Amino acid sequence: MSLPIHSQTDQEIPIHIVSSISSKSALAEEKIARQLRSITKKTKGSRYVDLGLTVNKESSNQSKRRTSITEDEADETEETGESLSHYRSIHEHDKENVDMSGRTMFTFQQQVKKSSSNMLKKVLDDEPTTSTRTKKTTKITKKTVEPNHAKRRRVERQMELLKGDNSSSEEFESSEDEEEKKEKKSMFHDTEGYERYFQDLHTSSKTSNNTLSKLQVLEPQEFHTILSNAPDKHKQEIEILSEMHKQHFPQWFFELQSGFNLVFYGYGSKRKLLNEFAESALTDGPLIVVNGFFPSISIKDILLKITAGALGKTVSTGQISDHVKFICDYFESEEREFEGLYIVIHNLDGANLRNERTQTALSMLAKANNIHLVASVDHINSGLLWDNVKSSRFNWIWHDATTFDDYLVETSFENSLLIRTGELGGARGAKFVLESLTSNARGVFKILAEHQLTEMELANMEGKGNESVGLSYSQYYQKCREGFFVSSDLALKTELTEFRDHKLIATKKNIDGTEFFYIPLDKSTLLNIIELIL
Amino acid sequence: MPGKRRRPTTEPKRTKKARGKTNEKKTNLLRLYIKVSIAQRAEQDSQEILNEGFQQLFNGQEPIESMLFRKDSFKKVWDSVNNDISDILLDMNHTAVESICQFVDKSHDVEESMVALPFHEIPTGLVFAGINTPDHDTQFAHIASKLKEETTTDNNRKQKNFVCLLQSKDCANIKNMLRTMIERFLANTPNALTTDLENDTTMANNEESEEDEEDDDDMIRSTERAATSYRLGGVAAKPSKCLPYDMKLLEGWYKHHQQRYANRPNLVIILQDFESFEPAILQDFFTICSEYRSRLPIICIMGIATSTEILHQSLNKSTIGLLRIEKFKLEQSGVWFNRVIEKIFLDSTSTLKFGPRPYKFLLDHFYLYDFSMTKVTASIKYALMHHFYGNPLSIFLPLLQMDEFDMTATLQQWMRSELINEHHITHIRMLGSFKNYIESLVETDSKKALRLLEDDDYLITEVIPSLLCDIKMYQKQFKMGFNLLVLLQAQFPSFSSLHKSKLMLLLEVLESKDGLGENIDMVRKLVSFVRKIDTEHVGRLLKEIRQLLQIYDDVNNSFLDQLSIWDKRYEQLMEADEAYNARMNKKAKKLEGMVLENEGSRHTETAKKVQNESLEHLKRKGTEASKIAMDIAEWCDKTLGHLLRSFTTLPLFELVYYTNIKLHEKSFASQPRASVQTALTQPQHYLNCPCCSIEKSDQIIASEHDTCILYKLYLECGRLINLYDWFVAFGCMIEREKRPKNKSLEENEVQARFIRSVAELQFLGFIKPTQRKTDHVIRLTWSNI
Repeated sequence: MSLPIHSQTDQEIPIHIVSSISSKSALAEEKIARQLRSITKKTKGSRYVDLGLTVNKESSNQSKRRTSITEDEADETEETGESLSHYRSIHEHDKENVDMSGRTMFTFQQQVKKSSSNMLKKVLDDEPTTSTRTKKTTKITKKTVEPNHAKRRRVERQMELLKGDNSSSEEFESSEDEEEKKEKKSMFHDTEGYERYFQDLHTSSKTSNNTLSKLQVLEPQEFHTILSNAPDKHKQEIEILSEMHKQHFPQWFFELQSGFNLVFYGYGSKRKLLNEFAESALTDGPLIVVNGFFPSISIKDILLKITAGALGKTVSTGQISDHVKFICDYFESEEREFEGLYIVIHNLDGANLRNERTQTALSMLAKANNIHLVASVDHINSGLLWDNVKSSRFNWIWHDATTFDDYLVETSFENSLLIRTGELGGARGAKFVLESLTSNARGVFKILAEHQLTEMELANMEGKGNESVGLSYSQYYQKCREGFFVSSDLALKTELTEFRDHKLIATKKNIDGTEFFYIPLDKSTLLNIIELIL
Repeated sequence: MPGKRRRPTTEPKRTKKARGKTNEKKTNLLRLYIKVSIAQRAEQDSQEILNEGFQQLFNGQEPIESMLFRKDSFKKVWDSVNNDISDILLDMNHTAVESICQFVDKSHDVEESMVALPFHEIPTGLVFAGINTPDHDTQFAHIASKLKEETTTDNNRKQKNFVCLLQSKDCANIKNMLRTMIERFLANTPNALTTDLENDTTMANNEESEEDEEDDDDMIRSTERAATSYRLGGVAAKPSKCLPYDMKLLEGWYKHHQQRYANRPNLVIILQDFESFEPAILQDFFTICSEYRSRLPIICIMGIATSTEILHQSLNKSTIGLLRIEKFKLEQSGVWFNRVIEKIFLDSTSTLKFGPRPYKFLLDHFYLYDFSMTKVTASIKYALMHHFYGNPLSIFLPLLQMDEFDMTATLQQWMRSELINEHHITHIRMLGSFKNYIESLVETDSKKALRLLEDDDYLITEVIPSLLCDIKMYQKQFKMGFNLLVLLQAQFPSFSSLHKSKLMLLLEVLESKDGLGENIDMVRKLVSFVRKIDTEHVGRLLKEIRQLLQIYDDVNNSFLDQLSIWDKRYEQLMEADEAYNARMNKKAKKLEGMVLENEGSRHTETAKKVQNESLEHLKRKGTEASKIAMDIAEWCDKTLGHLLRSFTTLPLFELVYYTNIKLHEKSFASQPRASVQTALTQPQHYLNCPCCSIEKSDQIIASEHDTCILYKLYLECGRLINLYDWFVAFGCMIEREKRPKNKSLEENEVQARFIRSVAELQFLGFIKPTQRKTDHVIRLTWSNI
C-alpha cells in the first residue's frame, strides 16, 4: 500500500503518554476520543480492531499508522510538549488513560508486540526523547482513516477549537482518495456474540507466534508468595458481599429442612462461604464435606466416607447402586443412630464428578429423606449435567453466591495452564499410566510410594516429594526383590525407564553421586493413587 | 490411608478458627479431600440454628410466639395444600387404577377361555402415564399399593396380589433384575407368615415340598455366606444350588405361600420406566417369565411415557409375541395441573393465592418446560415458605379458615397475649392497600379513618376481621364470576377465537389491573354475542345461569330474583299465541336493517352514537326475546365487572395474595452463566464500589478485578488466543493500577496474577487448552447471555 505514511519505528511508538492537564480538558478530549472511536467502529474500513489478539497481515500497515487514537489525542492537547517519559512514571499521572477501552488498548498493543520481540524490554529502554513534532504528523495522516466526512469535520472542528491548530485541514483534502480505497474493503469485523463464532470459523484466524518461553518459569512456591503479597482489589466490598451472604444462613437452613437441596452458583470461590455455613448451621447431624474439584476423587470415596466415616458402618461394597441404597435405607429406617446427614460438595461439577454414574448416585442420595445436600457449581455450563430425572431428584433451590473470592485452591491442582507444576501429568495421568501397567510394575511403584509416604509423614513434609524422601537405587532394588516384583537388575531398570518417561518417578543425584528416586507428587495425591490402583 | 481415615474435627472448634486461614486451607487440602464431621460437634457448637431457621423479624423484635406461630402455620398450611394436591392425583386416576386392578384380577379367566398356545403369554398392561417420568413414582406407588390391598368389603378388590415394583436403575443386568425382583417379592410375605419363614428350617419337612423350603433356606444362607465366607473357609457346606437370582427360588416361595389363599394370588411385576430399561435385558426377562408362566401367575405392568411404538422399537417380535397386551391410560399431568390450580387458586378460601406474575411463572414452567408435577408442587411450597418465613404479617393468613366471630376472638386473644405487637400494627398501616383504603375512607367517613390510624385495638380486633371476611367474600364472588365467564364462553362454541382454557382465562383475569370490565376485549365480545342470541338460546342460557347461581346462592340472592323475572318473561313469550308471534316476526323484519356492531371497528363519535341509539331502539321496540337477551347481556356485563374486579382493590390483599416473583425466578429458573458473566463484565453490580463505574461494558479500568480485566480482553479475541499476547495486554492494564509508592510492580507479579486469572477462566469454562499452536488457548464462549 502506497500511503504517504510517515514511518515510525517501533521504538518511537509510545506506550504511555504522560500528560499533566486540567480535568476539564481531560474530559473534553475524552469525549473526542470516544467520538473518534465510535466513528471508526462504524466505518469498519480497514480496521481489524476486534480481532483482538489476532494479527492480520494486510491490516498491519494501516493499524500501524493508526497506533492509538486515544493516546495521540491525549498527546495533542498537551501543548506543553511534554516529552515522553519512562513508563514507570505514569503511575502518578494515569488519569487520562483510565477509560481506554480494551479495544484500543489491544490493537495498539498488537503493533507493539508484533515487531518488538519483547515489549517489556522495549518499554524499559524506550527513549523518552521521541519528538512531539514527528508524532503530530503521524497523527494527522492517521486521521484519514475515517471516511465519514461530515462527522469527521465536526470532530476536526472541535479539535481545532481545542488546540487552535489548523494544520490538519490541508491534510484532510489530500487524504480523501485514500479513504475511498479503504472503504472498498468493507469489513465485517464488528459483529458480536455468537455471530462472531461463525464469522471466525471460516476466516483463518491468525495469531502471533509469540510463546510463553519469553517469560521466566514461575515456581509454585514463588507463585503463591507473590500472590499473597499482591494487592487485594475491592477487599472491603468483597467482605460486605460475603457478610450479606452470611445473613442468609438461617434461610438456607430452613430451605434444607423443608426438603430442598441447595446449589450455589456465581463467580468466585464459594468454598469458604459454604464451609462456614456448614460449620455454623449444619450442626445437628454428621457432615460430609467433599472437595469435588480434587482431581482424583470418586463417588466410591464419597460413599465409603459416608458409611465408614460418618455412620461408622462397614458395608460390603459391591456396586455403587447397592451402596447408595444402603445409605438411603439407613436414613429411612426408624432405629437409626443419626437423625440426618449433611453433604456439602464443593464443585459438584468437578472434573471427576461429571460422569453419569456419579451424578446419578448423588441424585439418589439427594432424593433420600433426611439427607441434605449443599453443593456449589462453577462451570458456566454446569446446568447441562442433569437431565430431567436427575434434576427433579436433586430438587434444587438455586442461590446466587457471587463472592469474588479467588479460586486458588480449586485451580491449584492440575488444570492450570501456565504454572510449571513439575512437569507431571498430575494425579489422573498417573492413574492412567498405572492402570495400563502390569501388576509387578505397579508393585515397583508402590514400594517407592509407600516408602515416600512414611518418610513424608515422619518429616511432616508438605508439598511435592523430592529426593530427601526418595530411595537410592540399591535400596530400591533390594526392596523390589524382596517383594518379588523384579528378578533382575535389568528388569527394574526397564520399569524405571517406563515410569521416568511418564514422569511418574523422578531422579536426582545426591552430593556424593548416588542417584535417588522419588515421586514428584504431594502426599494426598499419592495416597489417593495408591488406594485406587494398588 | 492413615490421613484420610482420620476424623478431623475432634479438636475443638475454637482452635481451628484461631489458626490462620491459609493454614486451615492447607490442612484441608493435603490431608482430606473429604472431610467428615461427626454429630458430637453439635455439643461444641452453641450457635446452632434453632426453629428450623425461622427468625424473629422486625430486627429481632418480633415476639417469639408469633414466630413460632408462623412456623406452625407454615406446616399446617403446607400439609393441607399438599394433601389437596396428592388427593387430586389419586382421585384423578381412580378409574384408570380401578381398571388396571380388574385387568389383573381377570387375567386368569381370560386365559382359560383361550386356545392353548405352545408358549405362555404373559398378560401385560401398558400404562401410559405422561411424559414426565419423575412424576410417575407416586402414581406407580399408588397402583402397587392398590394391587397389594387385602380383600375387604369396602374396596372391591377380588384378591390380594404379590407386587414388585421395578425401576430401571435397579436392573442393570438380568442377574440384578431377577435378584431385585425376587427380593422384593419375598419382602411381600405377609406379616403372619414371617415368623414361619424364620422357623423354616425346623418345620422344613412338614410342608408339602421339602425342596422349596430348602430354597428359602438357601437364600438366607447364601446372604449370610457373603458376610462370613472367609471365616467359614473350607468348613462351609457345599454352595447351595439356588442362587439369589434363580427363579426357582421364587417358585418355591410362591408354592409355599399360595395355599394360604383361597384363590391363587397373582405375581404382579411393575416395570415403572419402560423406556429406560435395556431392551436386551427385557427380552431375556420376558422369555424367562414366560417359561415360568405355567407355574407362576406372573402379570406384567409397564409404565410407558411415550407411545406404544417404543415397544415395537425396542423388543423383537418373538418377545412381543410372549406378551398379551392391554392398554391403560392414566390422566396426563395437564389435567392434574388444571385441577390443582382450580382447587387452590379458585375454590379454596383459606390458603395463599398467587398474583398474576407468580401464576404466570407457574403456567410457563409447567407448559413450556417439563409438565412436571413435582416442580409445580415445589413452586407452591416455596411460595408458602417465603410467605411465612419472610413476612411477619403472615400470621393473619391462617385466620381465613375461621368465621368472623372466631377471628375476632382469636385476634383479641393475640392482642392480650402480645403475640401481636406494635410493629405488626405499624406494618399493617404501612401496607399499600391499607393506605388506599384509608384514603378512600377520608372522603366518606373521615372519623373512621382517623380511628383506624390511632386506635390499635379497634384496628386489630374489629376492622381486620371484617376486612378479611370481605376478602373471603370476594374470593367466593370471584369464583362465581369466573364460572359465569366460563359459562358464557361455552355458549358460543363456534367462535374459536373466544375460546380459552380456564387457566389462561384466570391468567387474563388476574393480569387485568382494573378488573374485567368493558376494557377486556373478550368480555365485550361475549356480551355483544349475548345480545344477539335467538329465542331458544335465551331459554337455554337462562336455565344454565340459574344452575350456576344456585350453587353460589350464599353469594348474592338478588341475582336469583333477577333471574326469576326473566324466567317469567320468557315463559310468557313461550306461551304467547300465534298472533303475537306473527306480530313479533313482523317487528323483527322491520328491525332487520338495524346494525349491531360487535367489533370495535368503528370508533368515531357518530358511529358510537348510532350504535347506542340502535341499542336503545332495540330495547324499546325489539321483540320480547331480544329484549330479554339485551337485559341479560347488560346484567352479565355489570356483574362480571363487579365480581371479577382486581384483587388489588381490596384492603389488606397483601396478606393473602403472593405477588413476588423475583425469588422464584432466581431459585427455580436461575441463570448461572449469566450471573458469572455479569460479575465479570459489570463487577460493580455485585460489589457496588465507587471506583469501577463505567458506562460501556467493554471499557476496562485498572481498578477492576484481575479476572474481569482478563475476561474483557478475552471478549475481543478470536477463536485462538495467544497466551503471551494476552499476558502483555493484561500487563498493560495492570500497570495502570494505583499502587503504594514503595511497592513497584514486578514483572513476575503480573505473571502470577495473569496465571491465576487464566486458571480461573479455564476453571469456569471460558477457555480450554489446545495443541494446535504452542501456548494458545481456544475460546469457548461467544456471547453474553
